[in-house]
Amino acid sequence: MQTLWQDLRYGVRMLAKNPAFTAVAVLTLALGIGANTAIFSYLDAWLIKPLPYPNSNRLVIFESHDKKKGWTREYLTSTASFLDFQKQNNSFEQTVGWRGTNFNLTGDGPPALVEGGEVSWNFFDTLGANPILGRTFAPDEDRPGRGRVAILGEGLWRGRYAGEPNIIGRNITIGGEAYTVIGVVPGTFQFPLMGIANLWTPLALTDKERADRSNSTFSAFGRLKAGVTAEQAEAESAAIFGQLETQFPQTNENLTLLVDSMTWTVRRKEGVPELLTCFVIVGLVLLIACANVANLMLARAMGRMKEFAVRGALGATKRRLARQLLTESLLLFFFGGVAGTFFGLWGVRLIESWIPGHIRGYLVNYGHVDLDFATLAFTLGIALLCGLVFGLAPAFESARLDVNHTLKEASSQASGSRRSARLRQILVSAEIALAVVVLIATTLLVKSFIISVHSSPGYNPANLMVAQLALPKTKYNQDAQLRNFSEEVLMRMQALPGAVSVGAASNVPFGGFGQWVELQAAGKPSPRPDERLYAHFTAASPQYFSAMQIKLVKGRLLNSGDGLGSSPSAMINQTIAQQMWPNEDPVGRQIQFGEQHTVCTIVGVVNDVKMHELRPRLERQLYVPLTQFPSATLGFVVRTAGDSTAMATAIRDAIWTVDRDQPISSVEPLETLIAVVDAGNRVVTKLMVFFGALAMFLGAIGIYGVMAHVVSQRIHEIGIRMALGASPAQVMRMVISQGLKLASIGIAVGVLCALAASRGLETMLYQVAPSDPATFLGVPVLFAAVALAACYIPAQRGMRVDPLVALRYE
Amino acid sequence: MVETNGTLIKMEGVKKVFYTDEVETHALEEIHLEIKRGQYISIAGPSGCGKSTLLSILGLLDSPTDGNYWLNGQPVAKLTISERTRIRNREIGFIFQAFNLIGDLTVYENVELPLTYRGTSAAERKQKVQQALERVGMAHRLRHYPSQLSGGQQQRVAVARALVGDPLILMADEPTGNLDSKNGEAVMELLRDLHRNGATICMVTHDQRYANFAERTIHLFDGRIVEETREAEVGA
Ligand SMILES: Nc1ncnc2c1ncn2[C@@H]1O[C@H](COP(=O)(O)OP(=O)(O)O)[C@@H](O)[C@H]1O
Ligand SMILES: [Mg+2]
Repeated sequence: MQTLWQDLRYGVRMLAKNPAFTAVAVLTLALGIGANTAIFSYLDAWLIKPLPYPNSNRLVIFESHDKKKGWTREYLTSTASFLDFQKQNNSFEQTVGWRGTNFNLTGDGPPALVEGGEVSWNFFDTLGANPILGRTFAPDEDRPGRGRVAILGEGLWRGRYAGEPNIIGRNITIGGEAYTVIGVVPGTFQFPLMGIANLWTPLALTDKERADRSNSTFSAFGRLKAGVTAEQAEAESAAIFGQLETQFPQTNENLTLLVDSMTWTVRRKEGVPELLTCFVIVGLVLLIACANVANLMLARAMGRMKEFAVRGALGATKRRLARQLLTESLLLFFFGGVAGTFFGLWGVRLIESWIPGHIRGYLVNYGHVDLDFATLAFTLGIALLCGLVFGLAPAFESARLDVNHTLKEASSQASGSRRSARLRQILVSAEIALAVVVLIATTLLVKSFIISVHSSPGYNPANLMVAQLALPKTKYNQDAQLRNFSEEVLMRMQALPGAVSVGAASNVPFGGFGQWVELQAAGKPSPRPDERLYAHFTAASPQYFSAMQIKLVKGRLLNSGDGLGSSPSAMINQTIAQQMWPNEDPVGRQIQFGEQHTVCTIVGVVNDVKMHELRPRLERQLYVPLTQFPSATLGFVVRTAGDSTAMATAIRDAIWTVDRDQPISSVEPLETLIAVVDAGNRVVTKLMVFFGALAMFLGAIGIYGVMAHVVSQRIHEIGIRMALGASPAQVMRMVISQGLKLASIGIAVGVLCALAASRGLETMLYQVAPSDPATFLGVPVLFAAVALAACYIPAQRGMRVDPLVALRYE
Repeated sequence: MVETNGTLIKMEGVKKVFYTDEVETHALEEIHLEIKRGQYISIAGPSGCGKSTLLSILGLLDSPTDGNYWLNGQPVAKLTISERTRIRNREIGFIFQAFNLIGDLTVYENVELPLTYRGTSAAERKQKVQQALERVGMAHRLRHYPSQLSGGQQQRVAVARALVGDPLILMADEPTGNLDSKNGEAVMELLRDLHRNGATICMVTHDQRYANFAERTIHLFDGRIVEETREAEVGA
């Protein structure tokens, strides 16, 4: 015990005596371990930990599948068939239908749009959620007419209703109708497939809906009975749907129901490639950090060979020496581990703050990501192993060496020290190679991101405010009402001081709404199912295009003439024009779309616009006049001369003058909508910039450490050279060229590895080849410059060697 | 290379004080010294009397605290660092007690160093290195590393390195200190040979036997020259 204390005290003294070594080692460990732990904590929360439900491995989602055409959908396509399956199956303990809904909440403050869902009565019970107040739905509450009950999320209850304790039994107004609050579920309950849900009502299917065999409007999941496998359930479903197929050949031909693990369905949606890329990259960073630590420990052990020889000469046993070294190393790693923990914690919080609000609800365990201590221990362990192997091995060697020999050896190089010098050089070359791989990979990803951000979206998002809302079908059940609403709001917005131009559309880029329709040239025979074309569909007011600054390529824009009285007209984007009429003029041709096969005349062609993501991709886009095709979902765009954010209140007021109960989903600059949707990429990009910088920094420390050590080992030799007439500049050149030689070996190996590895990034790269020449040239040059800078300080030290001193103390 | 009476080195009132942690060490006091071309002079005295310090100043590795020093008629005090480097490289050849060969370089490369630093062409270097090694009898060991040679052989290589650039003067600090007497004598014999052929040599030794090899011996004590003997007198 006493010797341990003695060892500890001596260890602390040794670390304090060499503050530069200690600081660099602790910093390296903290960064390497911290970054790994932070990233792995997310990987663990999202991809490894089970979903936060009891026996979540028994939860599966149902997918509709067409055996002949081969498609699979994550929602149901036949309500009646699903209800038959629900009744007949023996595999499931529970089956649950659900659909995400945005509820219009009025009364108790300004109208608000609340995300939530309509769910079967057993939704909460199947997921094992316990209410903090009241109860969950009762078995018969999802019958039509019975279902005027609602369950609140804790967030909504604490926010809008100020945590009112007597909320149970109160009436609230949803979509203009009164609902009774029966329960409040805790904020920790989440259903990632639904987003940030805060309000649930029963999924009350009408008899007509229940009988519909060719359509469905919801998704479903189920809980398998204990001991039943997904394969058995799927076999049963195949049997039941086989019967339905013979019974109802018209609607059920080829139709079957597949089951898929809920866990994997959720995980697939969570940016797995990005997360795995981050993980591989931090893994490489950890390797770099380990090589650094190994290098530092090795240098230190070499520097102390003589000390250990003296201790050995004075009678210290090998065990005693090893214990001393071990104590010191453990102490160092303890500090590194503590610093790494703090850094990791900070990293977890930082990344969490980067995750945009709108996707948080879709992430499993969001808000419950904690520093993963298993990872911390694991990464610390790996680093410790490196440190011990490289720190202790030379010490053992020194203990084995003939004590007298080592003492006499003085500064001339012993064979052992030369071998370890070679090992250090190999380590630092490997480290640089890894750093170059990381830097190239991150540069490719960041470059791709920058290109996608800077490529034109096809409109001008600056100084443009967007107000989005959905009109309740209960109140606006006629086309004329819809039409009047948008026209009146447009008129009031037009009159706003500061509004340069305004427009309205059924959906706007990066907004919350969107619609796709099937499309074909009119008069042609109906295409085979696998040849059907779909297009993004927007009903727009005539001024929408000028307000957005979407450019007309051919023909004319929609105008007020395309009104109620005239025949339907449409505009297409360049992608449709090129795909459907590659060598012809589409203007004047007829096109038909949607389930009603509505026929329209094409009056103009506009440029493609980015609707959902900044990476441009080809998408067919179809526009029709809002007057002819009124829409319940609306996005109003207001272009202003200067900064548009000040207009938000005026815009809300303009809408509420027309309907004071109408909730507004959002009033935000278009640039904000884009930034929010792109936030996932931005998080990854920020991480990439950070990891790239970290890899470069660690690489630089590595070269610096080795060269500083090399110079300190060569002081005597440099003294001789200077006595013989080497000028300071010649000495500097000698040190730097040795450093650069090491660096260039590492860089060359790194570039070759990166060439092979970057192919794995291909799917994440946009307009950047995996072997992008600029990156593959720029990164090595940059790294060489960094290596040069890292060699400069040791080289300067070499330059300042006083030959007299070097030769006197040998 | 037979020389006239030209003065190569002249020192007047040279003084050296080392300041370390509030302690002043007066290593040299009032040194007056003149060395002519072709002379072989030895500096003798007990350990710590300032012999190495004097040699370092003579060899431009160090500067005097006070006093004047002319090398080849040029006042040394006014030289810039790069001029001192140049002179060390071209006009002074060093031989150390601990040989100070570079362990990672071969015999050939070690001898080549002074020429490399002055930018001599490779062909000329090769010829001169060869000649220098022949003069010390080590031409057959070109590719060996210092660790593969005996102490005496190492010192002979060091001598070759010192004279390869045709310096004006050879400075040797106890060149036999690390050698047994047989090897020591061989090295002294070598220096005497070089002197006979015209080399100017300045050698530190505290071994009376070897001091006698020189024409003049300066005796140092506590940093001062206390006596000077000439070969003739000793021999008498
Ligand atoms: N760099 C230095 N700093 C302080 N004292 C020194 C230094 N070099 C030499 N000395 C001191 O100067 C004196 C002369 O040293 P030195 O010339 O090495 O003696 P010698 O070579 O005759 O044995 C000694 O007392 C020595 O301790
Ligand atoms: Mg001495």
